[in-house]
Amino acid sequence: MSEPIPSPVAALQDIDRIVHEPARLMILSRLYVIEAADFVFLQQQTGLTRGNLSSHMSKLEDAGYVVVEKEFVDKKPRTLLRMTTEGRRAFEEYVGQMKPLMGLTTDPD
Amino acid sequence: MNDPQLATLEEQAYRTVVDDGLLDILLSFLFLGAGIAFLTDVNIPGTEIDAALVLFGVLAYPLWRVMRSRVIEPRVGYVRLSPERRARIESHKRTVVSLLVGFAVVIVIVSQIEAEWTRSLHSVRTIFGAVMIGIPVATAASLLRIRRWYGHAAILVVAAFVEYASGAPFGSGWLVSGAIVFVLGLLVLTAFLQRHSVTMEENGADV
Repeated sequence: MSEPIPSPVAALQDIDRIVHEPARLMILSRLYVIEAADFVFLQQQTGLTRGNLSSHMSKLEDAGYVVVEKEFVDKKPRTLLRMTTEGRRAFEEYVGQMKPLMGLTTDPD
Repeated sequence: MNDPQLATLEEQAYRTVVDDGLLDILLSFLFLGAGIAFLTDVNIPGTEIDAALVLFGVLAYPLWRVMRSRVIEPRVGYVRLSPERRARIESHKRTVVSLLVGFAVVIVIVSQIEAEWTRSLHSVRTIFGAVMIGIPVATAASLLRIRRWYGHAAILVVAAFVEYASGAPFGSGWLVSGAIVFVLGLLVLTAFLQRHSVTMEENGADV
């Protein structure tokens, strides 16, 4: 029996489903390009409702892809959401896996 | 950041920081301050423009911080841009401040020299000052990629020319250009807040 030929499509089996979910992908791509942001900023940038965003953030936090940090500015608390190194690596890996797949859908000519 | 789509997302985040209209309003304060200084003949360390620049330099950042935290951040949220972007902004800021300080020094030196050419320059001092401030404003437009700031620089210079040509009181062109830029800044701010605000209901706050 011959071994299956590796293909970009086969790589889909190993895709990180935490990252792959559209809303979480949206959150991670927004966090990837900045250092940190608060909840309102992410809500505004992604268009997600507060409840939806909160639920996805919990999943990302549980996966270790995002950390929640608290800081004080002018004696007022500010909650910041930041992508971890692990989160960045997972996101880059996901993008790397998806790119060849996207190449399949383009006209080779 | 090689991916063009990620670069677009980063650009959007950047625009929420610099393209909200607050910087336009602050710039209008500089023009208005210079106009008031000219009209009332304030003369704090050497010339009126320097008085306005010193005031602007001291007040601009604290004012911007207060306006960001009171007006923008509760509605649009807070973002800390990437270290690379922040380093670029810092470098651009230094360039513009250096230009402003450099031109202010030139103005002081020119105002101290008693010669025929400085006397003729003094007769067109409103235009000279407008060009001296207009250049850093246009440079800021180029560095920060806020194209309407070229317009702000042009408004200042044109208003100074009109003031000179019409024989209006010294400084009135600056006041007019300051008022125009202020109104434009308010319009940009309003449009920005309408485009980006998260409603209180969505935000989970009391409505």
